[in-house]
Order: sequence, then structure tokens, then C-alpha cells
Amino acid sequence: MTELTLRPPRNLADPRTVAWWTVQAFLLAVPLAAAVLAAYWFLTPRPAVLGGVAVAVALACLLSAATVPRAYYRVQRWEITDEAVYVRSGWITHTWRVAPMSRVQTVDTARGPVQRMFGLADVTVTTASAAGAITIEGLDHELAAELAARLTAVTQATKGDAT
Amino acid sequence: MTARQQHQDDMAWSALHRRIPLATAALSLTVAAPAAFGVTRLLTGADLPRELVIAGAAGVVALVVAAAYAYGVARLRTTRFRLTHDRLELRAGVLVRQHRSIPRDRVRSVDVKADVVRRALGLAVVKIGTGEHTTGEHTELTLNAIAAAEAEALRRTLLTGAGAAAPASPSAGHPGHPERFGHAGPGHREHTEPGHPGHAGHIGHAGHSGHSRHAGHAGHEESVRVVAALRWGWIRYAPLSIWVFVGGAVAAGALKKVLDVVGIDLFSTAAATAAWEWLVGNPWVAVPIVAAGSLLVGLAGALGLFAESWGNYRLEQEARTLRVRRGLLTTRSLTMETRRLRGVAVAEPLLLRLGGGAKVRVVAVGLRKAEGQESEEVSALTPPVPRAEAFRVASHVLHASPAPTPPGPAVQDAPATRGFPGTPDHHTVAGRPTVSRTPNTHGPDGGHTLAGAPDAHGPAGAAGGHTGSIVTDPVDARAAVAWGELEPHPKAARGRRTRQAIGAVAVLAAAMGVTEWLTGWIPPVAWALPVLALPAGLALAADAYRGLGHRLAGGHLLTRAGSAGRTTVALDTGGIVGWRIRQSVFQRRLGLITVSATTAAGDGHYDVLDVGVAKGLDLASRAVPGLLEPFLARVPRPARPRT
Repeated sequence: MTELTLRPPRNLADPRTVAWWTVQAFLLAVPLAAAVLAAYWFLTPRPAVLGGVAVAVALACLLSAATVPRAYYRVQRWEITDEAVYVRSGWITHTWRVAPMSRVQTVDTARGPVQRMFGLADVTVTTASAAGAITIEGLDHELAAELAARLTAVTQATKGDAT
Repeated sequence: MTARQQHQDDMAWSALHRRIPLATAALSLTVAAPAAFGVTRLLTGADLPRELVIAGAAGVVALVVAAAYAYGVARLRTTRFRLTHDRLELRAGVLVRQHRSIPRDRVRSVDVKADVVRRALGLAVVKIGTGEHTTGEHTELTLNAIAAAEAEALRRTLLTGAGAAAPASPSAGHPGHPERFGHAGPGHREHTEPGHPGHAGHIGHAGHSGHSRHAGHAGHEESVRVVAALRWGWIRYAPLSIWVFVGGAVAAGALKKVLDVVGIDLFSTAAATAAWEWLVGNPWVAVPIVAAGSLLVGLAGALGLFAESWGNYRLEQEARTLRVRRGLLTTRSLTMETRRLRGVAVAEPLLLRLGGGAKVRVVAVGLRKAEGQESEEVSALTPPVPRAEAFRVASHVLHASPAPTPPGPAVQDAPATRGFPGTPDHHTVAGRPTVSRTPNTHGPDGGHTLAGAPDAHGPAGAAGGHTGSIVTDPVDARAAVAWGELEPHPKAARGRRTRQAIGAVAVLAAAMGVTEWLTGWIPPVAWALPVLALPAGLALAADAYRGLGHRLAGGHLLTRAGSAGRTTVALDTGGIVGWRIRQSVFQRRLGLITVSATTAAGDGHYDVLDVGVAKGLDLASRAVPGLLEPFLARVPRPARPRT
């Protein structure tokens, strides 16, 4: 007996994405951990139990910053065929998105400041639906530009307003 | 540029109606009157002579009205609009000048509204909607106000068979013969058809044909079909809403606000204090009296709101448009193009459902959102009506919406060399079946049921050819599907809802327990709440599960969900612009997924909640052939999920 399922999209993000996400996670986690420890040291009478909790929270912050990007990298996949854009994302809740090329309205690329240092870019594809855009994160920026150009060419060949 | 176009581009700008200052002045009385009242109280308190008090109040009124009149004059002087061959342009703004210009082929709805004052002056406000989601804001052009007759003419010109607004398909074959629209002979322009949903069949597919007729004539020659008209008996459904229970409190709050504005503090008078003390002293008498009073106020409010919102209600079908007219005092008319319709939703909120009623909303592209003070959704097609009537209207509207043809040249014709980098092994199959649906061609038996429209997917089985693995059942074109016959969802979905209900009650009880433990504030009576909430929650969970259902029929994706707010949606599969499929941790364990069809219309996405994985994917792949198949796979069946 077999059962129908969605197969994963073919492509992973660029491997540099792990490093980029990790750097971004640490940019958030390090100050957070420091704030927790500082609050314990300066604002409390430093009971030992609370100290343990504070250290544990700080370690959890740093540990998740080190591991979560790796896990995310593995679940986040994308694929673009001549007919459709297909993306999977999410760790706790899996989300698959499919948009047919004939209904794509706009294609954007975006690069954040940290992202730029790694030579990466995001491609965002919007349809006429209010249900949100499809974003492919962490592509090599040249690949992203090329994809965007091709997607734009395809969608411009589409008449009407794709609703 | 043609001569005619040249002529139109040179067309003079027209002004708004010259009675606008009168209207703004009259409307300003609603501000002036309480202001005068407040001034009177203030001056009376200051122990001034009576003449001075009267003079002061009159002065305030005169000032407000004069300012409003001056503003009206300024708006009248600065606002100009014109309708050219292909655009509607507006220049407006007293302080900040703005120039808006919208292409006529982007006009999707026209909203004509006249409140009591404007009606008396023969004016109407026209809102022209082009609503686009992509820009994040609803672009809308408002003409406030023009003569009522002019508004009607503009509405017809913009939406009813105007040459410029039609898609450029001059050879589309259907000249704009009025005979097509029903059975109206020359002397027979308008007729109702109570209880004959099936007759709608002929109308539906007129919208996509290119009308070459000039705007000036088209409107008058086309017949109007009344799909539904108000029956005052429907007012019995008006009280079946939550407003009856909270209406009293809302009214009391509004009253207090008004009294605050004019400076009366009702709650510090001696009488109020005495009344409060009596209330507290006799709770067994007072509580029922207050509850009954609140219920009466709520009831009166609900009935009044129904009468005002839905008096003179008519749902009309014109050649290319659907029109909702309603309003006892403030009249409203919303006209939308049938080619922008993507489906309908039948809403049955719990109370209304228990009373056997339902409401119909339209799922259309480019409808604006309801504004704060509006009592009804813009998409409302009917008041609360008997269930059978709701489904009759809904079926009619489904037939009125032609299958939208997906835009553009078929992308699949792209040469195979157009592979994308990074997709080393992408599925490109030359000559794959197109996704596009040809417009339905009604057979003689078409149009009598929801599913009566022959399925336009064609032999969907052909789509299986290129992947070799996906079996797509061709939908039986003549299958008569009633709205109620939806496929149920797996039992696991019921378990999920039951657990959610138990969980919610447990959280409530735990919160109360913690509060009691920390503060001791919880009176023993309050523990009845979680005890009563448990059976209620379980009943709602069971009802919510019974409500779940889906089906693909007649080119529409039907999905139903909800208990407190049960809604059945029929979404035109041609209006689906993508899929979003979700699976949470809990759903993973139960073998369920939520399949959402994304669309440009209505809510943006319509969900098939908690459907079995294989069933849901099969449904999605059949609804839009060719889109999902390349991404589907068959895997060995896992161990039977727990149900």
C-alpha cells in the first residue's frame, strides 16, 4: 500500500545560510544571555538557586543560537519549475506553498546587512492572494538575481492581473 | 489615437453637485446641536442673563454651520472629475491637492450611498473600488457627492457593458444582445423568479464576452433580474445574533458617552445612587429586571438595525454585474462585476443556525473592507434569511460568475531549454495539459443545481500522463451535488477538537485555581463556570467536527468548517492562485493536514481544515489540475494513524 504525500522541494538554501543565520542568532542571543546574567548579578541578592536558573537560561540562549539555524536549514527547501514555485518551511508546523507561475504578480529580491556579508539574498514571490508572499531565503545573490530576472520575464509574459 | 479618444481626452472636467455645501451644513448640525447644548449648560451655570445664554448657543451653532458650509464650498470649488475613454480621473483636496487616476478596466465595484440628508437633497456618494491586495491598500476613488441620477449613470457606464471597460476581445462572438439575459421580451424588462434557482443558467457566462456597444446605450437595454428581494418575515432572524445579549450594555455605554459630551453626569445624582443601592439590596428582583431590560433594548436594536440595513433590499442580476440594493433611511447600492466573482460563502453562525437561518456573502476580487461604522460586511449579499433561501441565492450567484480564464499565454509552452539554475532535474514536460479552464458551456440540463455546470476541467485524467503516478479522478460533469453532501473528515479531526475543548476548560480551571491559591478571590459560585463549560465545549467540539466537510463539484471547491461561526464556501477553482498546505506537530501524529486554497478574492485563502493527508492532496491536485502533481509522491503507507 502506498499513500500520497508531498515530496520535499529539490533544493536547499545556500550552505552559507547556516553561517548567516547563526551569526544573526548570536547577535540576538549574546546580548540576551548577558542581560539575564547581568540582571541576576546586579539586581538580585544573588541566591544560588536563581543563579543556576540564570546560567541555564543564558546557556539555552547560546545553545539554541548554535543549533536552531542548522535544524532550520534542513527543513527549509525550495524549487522553481517552469510551471510553479514550490517552497517548504517550518519546523514545528510544516508549511508547503505552491504558486503557479501564471499567477505570480511581483518578484523581489532583498538583502539584509548581515546577509550581504555572506553574499546571500532572499527572493520573494507574491501572488494576488492576501495569504502572504512566498519567500525563498538564503540564496547566492547572483543566483537570486538570475531567478528574479527569469521569474519576472515569465510573469510579464502573462496577460491580465493574475487574479 | 482615434478621433474619439482625442475628443474624450479633451473632455471637460465636471464638478461635484452644487448642493454639497447645503449637505455639509445640514450634517454639521449633528455636531452643532450637542455643542450648543454644552455651551448652554456652561453659561447657565455661570449665572448669566438668559439672552446671553441664547445668544451664545446660537453663536456656536452659526459658527459650526458656517464653517461646514464654507468647507463644502471649498470642496465644491476644488474637486473636479472626468471620465475619459479609458480612465476615471479625480482632482481634489482643499489643503493638499491630489490627482487620482484609475484605469476603467481596473474598476471592480461601484458603491452608491445616500444618507437621509443627501437623499433629501438628491445627492449620492459614489465609491469606485479597484481593490488590489498587492499594494497593501485598497485603492478607492470617492465622489462625494454628485446628483443621484448622475451617480446611477456613472455606475452603469463604469460597470454595465461599457465598451472601454470590456476586455479586448472584439471577436468574442456574443454581441451584447439583451435577449441573452433571461426570457425578457421587449416589454418585459424585469421579473422576479421566486423559487426557480435553475433558471439562472443562461446568465452566467455573459461577463467575459466583449461588449462593443457604446456605454451610453448599453445600460438601458439590458434587463434586470431580481435574484432576491426583502420579505419582512425575515426580520425574525434579526434577533439571532450576539448583539441581542450585549446590545443593552452597548446602548448604555453609548448613552453615557453622549451625556458625557454634553456634560451630564448621571452617575453622581442622588437618584442614581438610590437606584444603585436598591439594585444591590434586592439582587433577586433587580438582576432579572436589568437582564430583561437589556434584552429588550438589544432586541429593539437588532430589529431596528435590520430594518435600517435591509429595508428595500434587492439583489439584482444585470448583464455583467451583480447589484445589492438596501437601506431604509440610508440607501446603499453595491455593484460588482460578475467576472470578479470567485465564489460565495454561506455563513451560519450558531444562533442563526439554531433558528434555521443563514447569510450569504460574496467571494469577489477587489471588494473593499467594511468601514468602522458600517453594520454589515461589504460582501453581504443577503440579510439573515431562511437556510433554503440562502442556498438558493448562493447557487444563483455561483452560476452568475463565469469561470475566470487564467491570464496569459500558457506558461507551459515555454521551451524546455528554459530550465532554472538550481533545479537540476525539474519537471518540464512539453505539451502538458493546460491549467486553464475554458469557460463553461452549459448543457441543456445545466444550471439547476450547484453542480449543474458541466465540469470544465476536461478529462482531468489526462493530466496524469506526465507524472505517471498520480491518479486524478475525472469529476463527473453531470453529478448533481447538493450543498449539504460534503465528504466528512477523518475521525481524528473530532478527537483533536475534543482535546482542544478539554484543554481550554482545563486551562480555565487551572487559572482559576492558581488565582484562588494566590489571592482567594474566587467565589465558590464561580466554579460552576468550568463545570458548565466542559459539556458546552464538548458539544461545540462535536458540532465543529460534524461541520467539517469538503468536495469538488462543478468547478468549485466546497469547504465547510466551524461551529460558532460555521461557513460553507464554494470557491471557483479558476480563482485559486496557489496552495498553502500546513501540518502541525499534532496533525502529524494524526495524519491530518490543512489545505488552503489561496485566492485574490475575499479572505485571501479558504481552508480545508484537518483533512486526511492523501485525501487533501488529492483534492488539491484535482481542483487545479497540473499544479500540484509534480510535487506529489507515493510512499509506503505508514502505520495506521491513531484515530
